[in-house]
Amino acid sequence: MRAIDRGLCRCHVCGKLARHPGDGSYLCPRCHTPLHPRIPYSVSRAWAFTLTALIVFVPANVFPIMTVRKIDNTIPSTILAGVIDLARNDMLPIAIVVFIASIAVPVFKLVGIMFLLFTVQRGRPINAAQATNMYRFIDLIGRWSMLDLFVISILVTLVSFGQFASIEANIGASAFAGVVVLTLLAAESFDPRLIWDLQEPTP
Amino acid sequence: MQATELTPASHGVCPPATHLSACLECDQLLDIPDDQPRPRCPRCGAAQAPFQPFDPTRPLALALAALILAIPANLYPQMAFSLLGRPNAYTLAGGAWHLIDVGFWWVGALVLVCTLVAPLVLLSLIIGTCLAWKLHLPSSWIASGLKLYHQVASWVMLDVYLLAVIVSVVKLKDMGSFELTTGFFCFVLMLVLLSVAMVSFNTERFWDLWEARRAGH
Ligand SMILES: [Zn+2]
Ligand SMILES: [Zn+2]
Repeated sequence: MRAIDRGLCRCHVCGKLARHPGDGSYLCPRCHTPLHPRIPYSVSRAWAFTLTALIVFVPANVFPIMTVRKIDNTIPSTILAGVIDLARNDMLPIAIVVFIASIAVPVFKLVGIMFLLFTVQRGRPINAAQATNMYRFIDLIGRWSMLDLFVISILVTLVSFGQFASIEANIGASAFAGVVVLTLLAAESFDPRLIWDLQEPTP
Repeated sequence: MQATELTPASHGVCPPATHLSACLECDQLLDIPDDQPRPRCPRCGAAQAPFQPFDPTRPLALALAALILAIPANLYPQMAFSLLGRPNAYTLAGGAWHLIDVGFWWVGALVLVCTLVAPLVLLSLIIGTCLAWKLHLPSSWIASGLKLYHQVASWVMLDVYLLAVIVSVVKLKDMGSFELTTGFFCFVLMLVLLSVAMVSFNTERFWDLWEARRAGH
């Protein structure tokens, strides 16, 4: 039995279970937050964030995220070039970690959220347990994409020796930060209860 | 319009030792026993907030200890890197500020929020709400603190930052001399205390206490 079938709604802020009989707006009796049986406009908001993230994903990968300057050479590097560089220099484990955090996670997140959104919109019952696991995985891994931005912050600050040797941030980093925040917001907007609603016969 | 409150009699399905709740991930109605430390939803497996009694003393003590450690973790440099005798040091605020200073204000601000502002605000909120509870300060203060906590928590990314330090060590170790300094070790300890404090700070049960006191029990 779902809470919504009994006219109940759990407050998303304080966890209180309160009565929410059908349409209309109600406030949580405990913390006075507006109650929503499902996140309002969950699917369209999640789509908006996901599509924007998809657009920003292009410059994030095409433009260099940082440039390494030494006396004799200047090497701008994109996210992928950074991973390849690590792998070439016998730092394979770290290369794999960075690859997962900066490339695999954003791609998987974007594809995964779009898959969930398509599924919910199509409206046919699916293996809800599997879809929920996918949602949880997306939710759990999203924040780890911040890894590259923290690394940039550390490298740029530590390696600044004027014309001698320096690492500079580039525009790709700003775009990548946009992708991370947008995918976090997309995952937050998606309501996993919609997956389970597909299992219920529509009233 | 205010929703009607549920009285124990109005749902009438749960024996006294359980609490009626709804799963946040699948909306299943659940009867959660009082004594279960890690209740899960039987339908989708999502973890639910336990109904074990909550005492604000524990998160208060942990958050205070973490906040004290946050002082050296932020004042002392966490890493030092030197090339041909010239050293550079990294502090959380300094790193983010450096990015803002060279024009990457958006990335810098994000780094600042996730590694410094959000953790400090979160610790202050735990300490503030628990102290306000102990000192019987106005209940509306506690309510605002708990609501804010709910919004700040997802922006604390210190664990990701810890991995970033490890990646940086590997990237820089062949380039010059790199060392982790005092600030970093204080930071790791602070991270451990903050994580334990966040786990013990069960906001849903804090709301229950808050409600009971407000009703005059
Ligand atoms: Zn509420
Ligand atoms: Zn569930």
